[in-house]
Amino acid sequence: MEDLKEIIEECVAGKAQAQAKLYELFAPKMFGVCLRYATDSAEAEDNLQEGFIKVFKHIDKFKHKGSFEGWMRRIMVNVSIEKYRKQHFMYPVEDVEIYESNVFSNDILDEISVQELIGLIQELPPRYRMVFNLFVMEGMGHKEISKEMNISEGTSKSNLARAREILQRKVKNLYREVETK
Amino acid sequence: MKEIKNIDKAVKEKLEGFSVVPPPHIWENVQGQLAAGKRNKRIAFTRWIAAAAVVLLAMLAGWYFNNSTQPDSQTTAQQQTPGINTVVTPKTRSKGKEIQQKELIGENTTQTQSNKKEGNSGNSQKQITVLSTSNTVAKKSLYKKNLPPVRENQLLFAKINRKEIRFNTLTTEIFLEKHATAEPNEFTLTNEDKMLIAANVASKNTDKFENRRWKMGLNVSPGYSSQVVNHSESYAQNMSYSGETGNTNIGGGFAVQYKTGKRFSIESGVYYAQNGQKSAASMNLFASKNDVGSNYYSSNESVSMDAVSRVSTPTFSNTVNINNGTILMNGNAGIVALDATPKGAEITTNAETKSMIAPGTMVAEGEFSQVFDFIEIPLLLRFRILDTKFGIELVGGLNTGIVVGNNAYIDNSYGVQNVGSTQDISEINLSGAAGVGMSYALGKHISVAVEPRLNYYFNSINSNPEVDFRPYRIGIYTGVYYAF
Repeated sequence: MEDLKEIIEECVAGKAQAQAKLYELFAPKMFGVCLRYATDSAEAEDNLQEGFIKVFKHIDKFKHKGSFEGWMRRIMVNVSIEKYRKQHFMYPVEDVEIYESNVFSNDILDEISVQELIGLIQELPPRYRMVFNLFVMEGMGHKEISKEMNISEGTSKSNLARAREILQRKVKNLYREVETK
Repeated sequence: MKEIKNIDKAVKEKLEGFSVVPPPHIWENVQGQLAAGKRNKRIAFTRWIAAAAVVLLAMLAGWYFNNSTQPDSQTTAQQQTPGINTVVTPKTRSKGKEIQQKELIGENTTQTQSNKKEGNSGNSQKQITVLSTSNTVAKKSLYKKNLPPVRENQLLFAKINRKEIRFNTLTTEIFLEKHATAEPNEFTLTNEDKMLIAANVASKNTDKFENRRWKMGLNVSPGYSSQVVNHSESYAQNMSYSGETGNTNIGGGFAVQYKTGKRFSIESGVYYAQNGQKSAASMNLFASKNDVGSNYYSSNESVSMDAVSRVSTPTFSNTVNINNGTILMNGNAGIVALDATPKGAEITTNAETKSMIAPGTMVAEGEFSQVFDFIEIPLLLRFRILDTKFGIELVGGLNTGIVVGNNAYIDNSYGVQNVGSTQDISEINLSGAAGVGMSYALGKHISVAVEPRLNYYFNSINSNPEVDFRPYRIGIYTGVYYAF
């Protein structure tokens, strides 16, 4: 992607055309990321906007080591976490026992659309959603998540289990609905 | 466990490449905010230029002051009036205000219902007369359809951010202008708009009051200066006195302050200050001529303490080094190079020494002093504790001291004679400053202030490793300030 490097360099120089191009290239994907972390598309839009402003302001700090998409994605995730922290700083820390997962077949997941899945994720309680996203999509460990979210590792684990459980149930319900139609 | 992994994997696979084209207004917002950021940078940059110009002018004024004691401060007054009343967007202002606006939004979100009912109460809408705007109207209605009230407020806030708002508070008229090219049309303001605008107007008014950010002042500072001093053993051996007394003197200067926040301000300026020390006529430490006569030759090197203890009249006596016509003497603040033998002084040398560089003893009546004149350029941080008509401020910071005068004096029956200068004095030195300022406002612009301040040099101002001479000065900075 020699092209991308050029675009980035022009963005560093502050060229508006390059900024537009970069946005065009990455906005859809990043919006996808933001949607996963947000309660609704309005929140996701806000985060995307904020994230892109951060990207353009700090683009000079990208050292062309590793993937630019990953760097950008990290910014979006950070913005989302930040937003979560601001909104849910009073959220009580509850200790939920780890729920053992029920049998869950992949086939059901294949049936539902991406949009439906996103919708289900968005419906998760905020902290479960954050933990689930960070663990599953970002590949973070519980230790890292506990730091990012300012919760204990145990809470992170139980939240993840709970998120899985809720998702499963919701997918099943949805699937059943689809089936009965 | 395998099952769990599979769910994760399945979700990840499904969502990995997920992408949705975001609505076009997001890019507009991003662009708008980036442009606003650029403007901010420009404003900040010009402010720094203005500040730098003031400091430079202050320096020049200080040098002038040093020569003629009449600083020309008025010229600088015109240099740095920042563009206060120009077009301002809410984003360009201080953080505090942003928070205020955010708080306001927070309130709105919780009280949206009641606000709508209460409707037109409050005096804010009285002030609003004209509002011209653009396609944001269309956007607004678009959002009204599918968004909860909370979102609407935030959007309104964002919308207002993107506008350049011109306030004309004196005539109580507000103009909202969209800077992008768009057809102007009118609509009535919602309560949220009005509240935001009212908050802006309120903060704008306080702004006007606080916008007197610059302060300039003239000071005189009567003070007392002394020093912390240490000598190496070999150096001290050839120094038969240790003058620990300081001297009183008058300094003064020109100060510029710039208010960076509600309570913080920074100050620079140019001051003249004197630091010196005297070898006071201490009975214990001074030998008389008679003592020298009887004891010096017997002890051969320096005046012994036995001799000193038998002193009757205070007389200055010290070992000196005569080298190519210059007389070098170990003074308290460093080696003094005497231009010539001072009047009323006698120098005795050991004629039998083979070496041409013969140590001798200088005997003179009177007080000996080494005096340094400094031009000081401070960089001080001021924190206002009490912010009323009578104000109290804590002051602390750094001072760059430039040595502009370096003289050694002897004060005896022939009067005060300038006998030479101290060697190895560093020209530029750094000192710390701390003080407590008290001020009293006489009017909108003029205030008087009294400020005891301690200046302490961190390092020896003498580069000779044998001498550690760190002067300090306590001054009562008293002056008049002009705020604008």
